[in-house]
Amino acid sequence: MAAHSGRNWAGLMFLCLLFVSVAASSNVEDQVGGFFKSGHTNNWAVLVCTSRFWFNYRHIANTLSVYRSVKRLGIPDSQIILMLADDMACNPRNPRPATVFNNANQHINVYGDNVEVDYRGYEVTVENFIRVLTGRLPPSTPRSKRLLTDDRSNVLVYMTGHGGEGFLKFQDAEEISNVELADAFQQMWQKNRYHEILFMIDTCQAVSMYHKFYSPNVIGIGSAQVGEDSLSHHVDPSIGVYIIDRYTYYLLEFLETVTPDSKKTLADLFRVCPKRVCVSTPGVRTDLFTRDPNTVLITDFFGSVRNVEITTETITLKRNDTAQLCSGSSCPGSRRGKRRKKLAYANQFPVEAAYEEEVTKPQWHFPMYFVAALSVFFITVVSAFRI
Amino acid sequence: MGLLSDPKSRERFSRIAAKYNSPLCVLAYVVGVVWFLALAYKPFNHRTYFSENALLPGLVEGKFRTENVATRISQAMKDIKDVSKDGPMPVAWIVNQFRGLGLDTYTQEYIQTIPVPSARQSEEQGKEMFVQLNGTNVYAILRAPRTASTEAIVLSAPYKHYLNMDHNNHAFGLMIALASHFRKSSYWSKDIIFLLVDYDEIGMEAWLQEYHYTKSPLLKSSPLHGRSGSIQAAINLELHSDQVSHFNVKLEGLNGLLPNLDLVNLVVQLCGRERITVKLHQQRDTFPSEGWPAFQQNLKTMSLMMLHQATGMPNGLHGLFLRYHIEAVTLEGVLEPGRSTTGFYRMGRVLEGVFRSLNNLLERFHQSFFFYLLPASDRYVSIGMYMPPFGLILLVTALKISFWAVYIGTPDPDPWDGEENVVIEHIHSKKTGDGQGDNTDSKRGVTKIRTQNYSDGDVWSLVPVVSCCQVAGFIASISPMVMTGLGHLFGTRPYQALITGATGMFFASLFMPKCITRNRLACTVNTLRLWKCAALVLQAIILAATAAANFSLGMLLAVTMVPVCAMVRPGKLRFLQAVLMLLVSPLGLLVIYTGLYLLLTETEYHGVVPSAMHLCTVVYYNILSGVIHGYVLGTWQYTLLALAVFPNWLFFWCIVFKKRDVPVVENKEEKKTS
Repeated sequence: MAAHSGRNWAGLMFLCLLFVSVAASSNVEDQVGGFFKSGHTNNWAVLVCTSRFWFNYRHIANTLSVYRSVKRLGIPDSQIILMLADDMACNPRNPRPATVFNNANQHINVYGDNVEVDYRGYEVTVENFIRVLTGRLPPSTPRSKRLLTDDRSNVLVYMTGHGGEGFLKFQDAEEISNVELADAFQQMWQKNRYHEILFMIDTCQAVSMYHKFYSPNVIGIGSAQVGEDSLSHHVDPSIGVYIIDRYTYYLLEFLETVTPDSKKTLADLFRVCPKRVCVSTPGVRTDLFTRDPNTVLITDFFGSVRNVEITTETITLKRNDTAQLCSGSSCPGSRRGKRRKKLAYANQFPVEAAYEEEVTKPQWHFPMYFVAALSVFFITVVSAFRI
Repeated sequence: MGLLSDPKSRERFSRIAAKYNSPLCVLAYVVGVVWFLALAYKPFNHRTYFSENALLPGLVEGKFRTENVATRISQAMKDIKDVSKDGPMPVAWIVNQFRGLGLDTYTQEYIQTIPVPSARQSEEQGKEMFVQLNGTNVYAILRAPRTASTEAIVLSAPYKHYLNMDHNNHAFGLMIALASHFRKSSYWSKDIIFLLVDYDEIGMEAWLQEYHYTKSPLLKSSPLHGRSGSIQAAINLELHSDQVSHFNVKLEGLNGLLPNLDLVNLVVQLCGRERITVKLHQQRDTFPSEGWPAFQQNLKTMSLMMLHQATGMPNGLHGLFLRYHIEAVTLEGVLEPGRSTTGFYRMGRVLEGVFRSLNNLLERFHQSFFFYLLPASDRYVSIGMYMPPFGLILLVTALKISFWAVYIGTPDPDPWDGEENVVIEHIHSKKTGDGQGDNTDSKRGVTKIRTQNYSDGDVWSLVPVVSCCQVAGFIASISPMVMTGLGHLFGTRPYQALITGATGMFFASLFMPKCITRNRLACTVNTLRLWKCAALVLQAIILAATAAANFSLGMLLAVTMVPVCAMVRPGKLRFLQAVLMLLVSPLGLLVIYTGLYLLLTETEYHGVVPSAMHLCTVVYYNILSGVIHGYVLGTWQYTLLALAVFPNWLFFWCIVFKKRDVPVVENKEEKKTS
């Protein structure tokens, strides 16, 4: 088995299919079952920092730290949507310009090379976030700013900012509620935009954000229970700000030990920040998730790792439908089995339609009584001439 | 009438208010005063906290290490001063110091015309009228390296022209040391303006006016050649020595304005971090913070703050910033003998921390309180806590208004002015009164009728008396300047003329009731009730409005004027009433509160006569500075007293001395009895 962290998942997919199509025997088919046990073929990450201002330095540092980890574990920039509401590196208050650190030792500059911020500053809005998740973006949006996931995508959604019970504040102007977020995930599910989602949020009363989820195959991890504050970890006295939040700090400590071939599972991830060190109580929600977290590799979400195994035998593949993965009540309708017709995205911005409609409208309107009066007038004139 | 208002319940309320009026008034007043005093006690006030997240106080480590510069510069400045004696500020030398650090340095010259002479000049030249004061401010701008100059913070220090005392050279030394430290750093998001002000308030006023393009007819100044952005906050520095035992934090600004509580907290917290004692009005925070001695101490601190605030005069240069909505405090470094001291190093670290925090600000201070009282440096009483007791005290006035309003138009059960009122008693033969609501009283078979004019009171009689009082107030407000001008013609000392102007109208108008009586304004019982009612309404309005603008002034006026003015009525115990009224007159209150202030601050007692002399001197200077600051800096305390409080007081004074006129009696019946 070869671990491979490549860029082009489509190419890999082709390779896998090529290999498995060669194989034939039933013995090999059993192996193939194990080969596809995670059920996903590509990994995406949506990393969102929703707060601006210098004193929220730590939120930028949180997000950039997770960005650094998922990138190190193999998700390419093209599959990461990074939303940062402020630019700490260029803030005039920053004593170390062009850097963002996540530790007072300052040994990792998380704003180092190749940081590709997709949505920055005032682009980080609730609308943009939901549009990215649900794919309802204007046609002109570049590919790098789109979440081009499919029904084989595992998506990591990491959010941080200032939250309350049932909402997360975006900038200083608006907030996203847990209901809106749950509906966005359901839309994604209905549009075949994900296979599994790991939703992780580090904010005050974080768990309230995943309470309303009802879409299948979603795991929620929050840094604090309802009524609890999620606290910062430590201050960097040379920069003069709280530099990272507790939950993310311990998450990173854990992720730094993870390698692309690591066998650590989600159950390990759930234990990264016990209350003893986190002060707040992290929460997990797994009831929507059908697999056993003890067997799910951490790299299913935080990396882009696919099995490549060479075999000489021909294998006939069954269609690996989600209907098998989500069993019973967690699957709202078995719509995936029925899908045959080619789907196309509806036009998300009905501007052209409205324009066409306007053009085809008759240009002149005459009220009935005006037409009647005009005809009476003409008749009168004509009859007058005749007389 | 609104659908929701029930006239019956209102009637019931006014009946209860009238029936139990006096006990209710006493209760409201006592509860109000006790409640207010109790606010100084720890369980009744709150601990200060930071509302502004952006400040991040004390998170950053101090790196200030240039205290040697401070020592060197302050010594050099002292040497220059020793040579030049009473000379002007060494502008060129100061400019060189700033230029040497590579800062954009500018000067600003100004000429202030003072409508009355300063003490020194009047001694020398006797009769000089409009003296002019020249000065030169020096300021240097440290440009923020990585941002546009859209915002600024100010570090200012006054250059004091004292002959023998220290002239704030230590503050300048520390300022230069901080400038040399700050300019090495790249993290400034705001420009820092270092400002050395020539002459205390006047120089500051000149600079601020020019910076904000506001003009004053008495102050001419050269335009500023260097500018920065909008000023977010300012720290003013006064150091009495290079070693200080504590920082005295001064807050009270022009017209009782206070800086945002967040800024005060910031300074207090950072001083605590560097273990420098902070005092308010030279009063130390108590430890333990509960118990009777702590309460006394906290009450003393709070009273001193209120007395300062009520004067409306800034007790430091920071006070002038507040008019432009720039939050500012003065840090006064005081050396108290016998205490452990702190040098430039830790003072510099405090200021560095304050400036780093201010640098973090994203918007103006707006989160915390602007209206508060501080019983200790870490405890506050907010506007929501001190307004209810003030409301209770004003409730006394409101109750009295409703009381008199209920009785207007009813007969008088108990004539106000016993001996002077001619009570007409006459035998009434079987015939009842003339239908005007007489009070009949059977006694030994004969009927005595006290006949009075029971009409609803003559509303028009208010016009002459109120307008007379207002005219008196207007004259009092302009008389200091008029008298200075007249005094110049007659060769009077300008100060004496000014004091004569300020107090003369007051003493003259004590005789106003006489004039009003001679004019025989209609003055029946109900008219007097109406007068009293009107006077109380005016008083309530004036006090409420004053408290909204300068709470301490409103409170100090209310706590003394309300009970006395609620009690006064024509006639009975006229002498006692007159004494009480004189005590709560504007001049009397000034004497009382100045006495209270001296009692709280002076440690030594020299006997009755010297203390009284001292008190008179302080009152004299208070009046002087009140009037002069009104012209130079634009404080409105004197004007307020003259135009609103004094006329209102005069109105009550007239009521006390108002003789009720002999009522009209039916002549026919009189003849029968005689």
